[in-house]
Order: sequence, then C-alpha cells, then structure tokens
Amino acid sequence: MTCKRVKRLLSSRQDGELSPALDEEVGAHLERCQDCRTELAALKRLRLELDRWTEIELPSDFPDRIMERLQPKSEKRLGLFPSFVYSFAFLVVFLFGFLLSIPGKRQPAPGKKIMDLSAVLSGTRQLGLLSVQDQTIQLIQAGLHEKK
Amino acid sequence: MLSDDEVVCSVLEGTSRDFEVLISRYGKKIINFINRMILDPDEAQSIAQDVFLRVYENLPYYKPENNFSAFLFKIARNQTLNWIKKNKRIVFFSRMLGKDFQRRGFTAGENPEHGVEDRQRQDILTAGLKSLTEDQRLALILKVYLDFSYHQIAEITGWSESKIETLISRAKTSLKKYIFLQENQTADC
Repeated sequence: MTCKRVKRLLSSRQDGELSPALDEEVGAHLERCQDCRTELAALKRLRLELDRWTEIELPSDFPDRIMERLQPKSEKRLGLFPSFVYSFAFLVVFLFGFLLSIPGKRQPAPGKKIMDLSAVLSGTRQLGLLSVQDQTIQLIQAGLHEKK
Repeated sequence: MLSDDEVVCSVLEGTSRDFEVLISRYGKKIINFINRMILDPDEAQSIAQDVFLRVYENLPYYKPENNFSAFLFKIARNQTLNWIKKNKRIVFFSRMLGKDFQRRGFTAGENPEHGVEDRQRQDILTAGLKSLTEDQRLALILKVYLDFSYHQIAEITGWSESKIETLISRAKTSLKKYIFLQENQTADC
C-alpha cells in the first residue's frame, strides 16, 4: 500500500469507518512509515482541537417554550378540522349564495335570452365585480330599445 | 427509560406532553449542531424551536423502522440550510459594511472562565470552520460532534457514503492547514 493511499484512508480510519482488513493493512503500513505516522499525529491533534469547542447549554425553559407553541395546535387537532376545510366550506356557501342571487330558472322564450343576460349582469354588479358590466348593460338595454 | 420510538407512539396516541421527553433528550444536541453550522447561538435557539415544531408536525410521517435521530437531524439540517440561504445576503452586506456579523457566535458560546489562550484557540477553530464549504462543515459536524456513522450521515443528507468520506477528509485537511498555520503565526508574534 502506497503512502498516498494510506494518507487518504487515515481520515476514515480515525472515524472508525474502515473494514477490519483494510484497517489492519493501514496499521501495518503505519508501523513502518514515519511520514504517515506524522500525518496521523496531525489528525489526532486536529481532533483534540475540535473537541475543545465549548457547547451551549440547553436553556432551562427551552422545552416549555416549545410545548407552549405546540399546545394550540394539538387542541386544534383534537377538536376541529384543518384550515382548508373552512376555506372550502366558505367557498361553497359563497357560491351557493351567488347562484341563489341569480333570478330563478325560467324557460326563456327564444327572444328573451338577452334579458336574462342583462339580469345576470345586474346581479353580478351588486358584487362589484367589473365596472365594464354597467356599460354592457347600457348597451344591451339600448339594443332592446332600438328593437322595440 | 422509554425508547425514542415508544415516545413517538405515545405522542401520536394523544399524549402530546410526552413530546417534551424528546425535546429534553435532543434539545442540546440540536442547538449545538445548528450553532456549529451558523455560528450564532441566539439564532440557533430560535431555529431549534422551529425544528422541534416541524418534527412534531411530521411525526405522523415518521416510520419507526427508520432511526428517529436521523429523522430529527434531517429536519434540523433542512431548517438550518434554509436559514443560511435566507441570511446569506444579510451576512454579505454586513461584511461589506465592515461588521463581523458572525462574531456573535464566538463570544456568546464561550465560557468566561476560559483564559485568553483558550479564546484565541476557539477563535482560530471557528474561523477555520467558517473557511470550509457548507457541505464540508455539515459532514464534519455530523461526524465529529454527533458521532454519526457515514451511513447515518448519508441518511440525513442524501449523499453517497463515498462523497461523505471525501468531504470529511478534505474538511480535515483544510482545517489542519488553517489551524496549524494560524498557530504558527501566533507563536511568531
């Protein structure tokens, strides 16, 4: 085994990630190679330096702070529905109300279609959807007037 | 003592207070992992809280045959990398303005009882870690400070074991050069 290969394997060896056979082979090389032993010593020193890094202690109120934030969620989970259910229900109610606001189902006479369209547009106007609708209604009404 | 999986089961069965056991068990590790990645103890605490909230929300998706620790650190890793991504611009501009934004990380985490020499060593070490790429730092921290195997790191990061081996080896080589060079310069002074 060459020094280049051994040096490449030293990090994994230090991490305990080499197979027993490979570990033994590297060990045998280290016994007879001063250069690689120096490299190994440097890695050990680095590890000592890394171990010096002081740790932050866990603040005593850390678990409580998280549990406080969790509490409302768990209550929601137990009793009620996810938020999208409410959004969906609101949408259904809104659409239902909107459809009810449209004049009832009349079987339109062939010539009455324009009047129904006008009624729909008037209905939507109450919802403030488009100012263009006002102009559309006026145009339709003007058209009907001309027909008459 | 209940195992992690037993605690998870209990929480999922409705005893949400048991989640506190997991927070107490892993809180310190998570905070220190995040702090070592971002070098900011205050932010590390805040991110750690979000990590546990995210873990709680995702408990129903945890598979007991997997390692809970890997599940937890996967979420911690994602939250931390998201934070780093968001804050890169802030760090960049603060550096442009001459403020050492990440300096807070060195001071808040240090013990006042430590001598000047110890503080200097920690400063060198922290600066050395900052000089690594994010991937190298992540792999090294998971190995050195959390003692995960390459296999477990692969589970957390989604990288191959050979990539992890290379990242850690390069991280050590860079750190060795950096730390020993800085030490020699300090000794010369």
